[in-house]
Amino acid sequence: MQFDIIEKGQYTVIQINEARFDAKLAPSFREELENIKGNIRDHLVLDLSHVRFMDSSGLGAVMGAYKMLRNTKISIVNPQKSILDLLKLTRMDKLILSHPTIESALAATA
Amino acid sequence: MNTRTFHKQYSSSLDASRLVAADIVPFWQQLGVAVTTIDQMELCLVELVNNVFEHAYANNEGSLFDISSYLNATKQLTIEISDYGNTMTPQTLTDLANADFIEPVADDPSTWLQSSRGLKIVKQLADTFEYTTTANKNTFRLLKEASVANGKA
Repeated sequence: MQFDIIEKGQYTVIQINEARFDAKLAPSFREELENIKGNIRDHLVLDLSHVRFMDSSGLGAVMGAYKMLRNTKISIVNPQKSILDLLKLTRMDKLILSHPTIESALAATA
Repeated sequence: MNTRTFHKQYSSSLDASRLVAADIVPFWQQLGVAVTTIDQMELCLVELVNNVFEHAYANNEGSLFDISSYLNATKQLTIEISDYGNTMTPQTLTDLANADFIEPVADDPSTWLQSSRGLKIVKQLADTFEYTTTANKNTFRLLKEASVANGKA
């Protein structure tokens, strides 16, 4: 499974089970999001624990989720350094906050 | 001075950037290039290979492109991506030279999805880059200080 969807109270967690979130994976992510968007809760948490590499296509897919889910808070969890660097470089860290764990992401809005 | 050179020809596809990265990252590791530099140049390479597929070859699979990489005499990591497709317009290059990432604003959707994000990343991470066209061959050439470990290269 490329993605695991976990429902937790007011939160939906999408765990990305791929090492590379890139132009190859981005269309599948968008499709998955389209399939579940009606059921996504108040806070969408993207768990990137397994993602070693992200490019502009992966980042674009995350930003596409941000645009699609206008009234949903979106957080990134456990990004590796290269992904944090990418968010900072592109300044998208100003819009989408990162947290070390799912619990800390959820606690930030509890 | 290290005279080893990586050179390989690939076929355009959505998967191609993964194949290139899987081949070239071990080569850079063997050269002793710093991990941070490898991470940054892997990202640049992926962006440019995707750019070749999407723009030079208009998302058509099976067209050939070449990747070369080596350390030059001043220990700069040099990467060349050559295609034989559509040439990048002078306007695109001018726009890129003047472009920078803008800070997104939560209540301004026009700031969320920025154009040419991949090329802007390359511009930010490479020390220098140039784009040349000779006959039917377009080449994007990047240079980056390699931070080679002692005893390597």
